[in-house]
Amino acid sequence: MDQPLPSPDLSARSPDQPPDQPASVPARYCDEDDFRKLVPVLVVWETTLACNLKCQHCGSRAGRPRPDELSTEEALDLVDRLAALGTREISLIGGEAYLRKDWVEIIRRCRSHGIRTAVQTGGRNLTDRRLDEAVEAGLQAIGVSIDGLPDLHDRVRGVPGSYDQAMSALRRAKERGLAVSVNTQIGPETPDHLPELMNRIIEAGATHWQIQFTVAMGNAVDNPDLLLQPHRLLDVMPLLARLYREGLDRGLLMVVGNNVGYYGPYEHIWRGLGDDRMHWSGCAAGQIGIGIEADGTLKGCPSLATSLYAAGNIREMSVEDIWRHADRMRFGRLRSVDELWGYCRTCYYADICRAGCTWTSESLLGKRGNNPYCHYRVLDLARHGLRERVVKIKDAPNEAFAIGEFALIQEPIPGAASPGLPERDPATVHRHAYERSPEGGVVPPSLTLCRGCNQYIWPHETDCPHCGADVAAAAAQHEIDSARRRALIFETQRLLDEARAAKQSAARQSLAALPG
Amino acid sequence: MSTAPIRMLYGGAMTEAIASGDLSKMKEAATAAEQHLSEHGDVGTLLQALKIEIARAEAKS
Repeated sequence: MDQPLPSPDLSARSPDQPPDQPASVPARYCDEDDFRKLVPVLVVWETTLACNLKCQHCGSRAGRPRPDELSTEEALDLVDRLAALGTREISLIGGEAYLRKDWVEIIRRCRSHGIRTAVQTGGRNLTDRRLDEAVEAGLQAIGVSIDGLPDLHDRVRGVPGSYDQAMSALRRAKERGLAVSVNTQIGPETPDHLPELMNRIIEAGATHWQIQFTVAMGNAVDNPDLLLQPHRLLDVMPLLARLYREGLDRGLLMVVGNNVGYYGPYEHIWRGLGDDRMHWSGCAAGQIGIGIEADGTLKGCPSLATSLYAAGNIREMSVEDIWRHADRMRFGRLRSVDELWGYCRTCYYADICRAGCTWTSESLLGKRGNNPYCHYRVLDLARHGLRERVVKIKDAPNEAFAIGEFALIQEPIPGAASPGLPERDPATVHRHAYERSPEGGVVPPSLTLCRGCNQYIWPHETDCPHCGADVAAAAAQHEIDSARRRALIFETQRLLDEARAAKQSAARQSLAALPG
Repeated sequence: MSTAPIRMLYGGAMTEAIASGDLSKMKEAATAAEQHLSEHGDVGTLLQALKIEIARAEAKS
């Protein structure tokens, strides 16, 4: 069953208006002021580590609750404090958030502040009663994790029948009017499942499909066969792009995760979901987002390693102080291109990308600043006959959010000529003039899209470093094409609006002509 | 929000994200136009056919 795709209202727009901005902006869309003023726009909150699944890739090794999880009173007070800081959306995760007895109270408190509230779940034993209680409390959205067709999903999630329960939860949430998304982790076996999985989640009513690569953390370190090898981006990224386009036509919006990287040929299509002004601009941890562990530990992102990024606990410091002043929270506001290493240190995008997702790179290699899960990098290496793969060399401790270590191996592509990468001088990497606001926030730079090749470039470029195009000339031609498209859209919409109005007028006249 | 968005925060249960851009809008407009044609018929094509038949009829009379 195809369904209408969420999209901005077209009717009030004229062809002379600039690229679209929806009348109602989603809570998670952030502007420069959010960065400047240090607004923790999105909070992802592990309310309990209790879980009824046994996921082979679970980074937090969820199962039993933490021994010292927040009390109801502490949790509700935390919601109040986040609201005071300007939080616009809270996503409750676990474990399974609904295994906390007071989860409905937490939802109700979030909603009392007008905070958009959602739950991410595996869906096992998410009963009708639990759903009804959450909806009554004001829950607005639910994301269900589904990692493939039944055999693969059940194996990865460690519980037979968990696929069926997840799909059931999705359907029942949809029936109750909740906004529903699906979250899929990509490992080596997943790509073959994606086309049919897309059919099934569309049929079940999902409108959004979140895609991310499985990360080498916690249980995934114990099961390294679940990790996609970086060189597989060569075939996986075109598949994702095909499914993105197909989904768009069928009412399913694919949203690629922070670790689906970066600046490759599809960046302008999917990072901003068609709005090519939005592109990857570095890890946002601790800048416009907060992660919370169930015992009140705050991190800049919920997925980061506790041992490295636990910035403070709300039982010992105020949320405000941890958010504004803790070094482990502020790392993203303070870092520079100098901390990058390996390929990322000499990359064209070094000073905006900052090696992509910190969680992914640091969990994998034990040190942030170099990230092989990057399409631009994989394509560059392939052009020079090279590829990368990872091999585990160190186990992760048996703790939540624990990391091990993997070796990154660069090798010739079998059967390809391998001239090797040319020498690249780190000193020639472009450095952006970052400015710190009085509040301590830093606005990430905005790149320009070369209209000759659809690759992002730094704004100072006059000739595209990727395709050699005259940037201004390509932009001028694009503007002519864009104006023509906007005029066509406007004229189509105008005619349709007039026809609709005429039909309504005729219907009113018919009613008025009825006797009596 | 006072200025254009520069970042869409990724995280669990992401259900508000919005497709945008010319391509998405053209597809939406095309879908609406197709629906209109299915409901009301293609007057433009009928008009062209009528004009051709009128011309033929006038040529014979």
